Amino acid sequence: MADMNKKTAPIIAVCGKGGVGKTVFSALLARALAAAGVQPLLLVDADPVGGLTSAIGERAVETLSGVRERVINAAKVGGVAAAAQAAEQLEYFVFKALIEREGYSLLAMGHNTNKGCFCPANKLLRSAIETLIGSFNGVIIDAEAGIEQINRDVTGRVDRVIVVVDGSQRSLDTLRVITEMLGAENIAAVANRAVIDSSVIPVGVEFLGVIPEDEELKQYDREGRPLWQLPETNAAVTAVRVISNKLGV
Amino acid sequence: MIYDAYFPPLADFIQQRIVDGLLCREFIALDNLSDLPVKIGAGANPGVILRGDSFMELGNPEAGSAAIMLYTDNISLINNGKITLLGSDIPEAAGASLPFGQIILIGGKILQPSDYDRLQAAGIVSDFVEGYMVRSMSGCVWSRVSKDAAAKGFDFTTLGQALMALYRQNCSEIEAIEIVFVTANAAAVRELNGIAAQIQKITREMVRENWAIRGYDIDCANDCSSCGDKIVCDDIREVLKIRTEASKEQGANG
Repeated sequence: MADMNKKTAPIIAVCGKGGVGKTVFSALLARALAAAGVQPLLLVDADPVGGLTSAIGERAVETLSGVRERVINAAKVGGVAAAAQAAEQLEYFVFKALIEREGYSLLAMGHNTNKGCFCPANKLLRSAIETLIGSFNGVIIDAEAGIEQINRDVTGRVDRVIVVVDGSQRSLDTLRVITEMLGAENIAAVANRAVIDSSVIPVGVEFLGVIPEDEELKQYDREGRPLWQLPETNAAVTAVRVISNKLGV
Repeated sequence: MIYDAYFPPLADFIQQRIVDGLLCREFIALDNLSDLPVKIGAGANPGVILRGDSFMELGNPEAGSAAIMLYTDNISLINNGKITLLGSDIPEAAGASLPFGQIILIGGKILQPSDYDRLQAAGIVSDFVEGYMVRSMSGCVWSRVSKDAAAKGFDFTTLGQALMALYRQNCSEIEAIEIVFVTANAAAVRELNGIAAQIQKITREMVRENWAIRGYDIDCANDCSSCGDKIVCDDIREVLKIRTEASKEQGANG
């Protein structure tokens, strides 16, 4: 149960261009923080494909999108009264979607089948997620892409944004755009599979380090094995552990 | 008073469950709250109780739930301090997710129909009982009891006493209070929901009248077209629009 005297749990969002390794970094960061005693941790897999969920060896039967659909479909079929009832029950279904494990819990976003923004449904969902967040000592959100998706779908409050880059110009452009949007103060960068010149990092953005190219990790990924099963001595695991120490969580 | 007609059907409901052979237990609330195994009061349960920390769960939307609060100025209708439990008690239900019915019967000689909102608010105990997380929905109570609270001896007598104390704390006009908990089965809770639906019709009408006295139409569903004050509000909206535009212009110039 939440401790009233604890400091507010830091909410870390992992962003970046598609394919740069956000999910790998999120999974290994979660492992490093949990090992360092930041428990319980809440992991939010905001990627519709559910990469983080499988990277840590989980399978989400219920997703936040499923909860969202429940409200939208109720409104479509039953009007205001049915939507109101579904909205009242929404918190229960968010709690139900939470996969609880020793030391960490996971919420998977899943993919929406109802096209459209449906802002009020997102707002209801966000409110229930924010209620849950209060019970954890740290939150890591593996984003689909940018911070705006997190603000819309998950929570309005993010304390630290870590942008993963892979040395490509597009990944650095994404870092630049996110920095322009949010300001450099709470943004940090991590390079995955590439050594980059620190001069390409926007002024004020903290550079946390490099995750080296790693054959063992690639093999785990290819075979669909959970990245949490990588040995402690693995080079990528070691690099992310060092990075996590710099976060001061 | 307005709800008095519903006291006999609720008594019949309990009697019928006993005739059906359901386990029925009665307790009397203690006067001394310091004897309770858990703390009560603002912030006593700060936050969420996760599934892994839960000893048991009551009334989730899939299991079924019904919540009724009735009040009267006829105190003779209330068995003050009595807690009735139909079904399993909390310590007997480790790991279970039970259907849940909660009936709160309140008596006070000077209670008025217009006290509904105050009494309803008095029953919102979301974070007031240590080890008891309540996420109330209208007409339902979904709650979890923590493993820690269960280990301290939290049961329905504890919950009943805590609720009674909180109601009394929040509304000094209450002179008598009685609580019935139902965990026996989903059918019993469904039947209770049927009674609750009838009561809700009366409540809705009463709440509508209470608000109408204050000049509000709560049935408008945010549709202003039928409201007599629409013209006034339209004028105020126009003023707001002008002020917003003026402030934008000031920002651009300054």
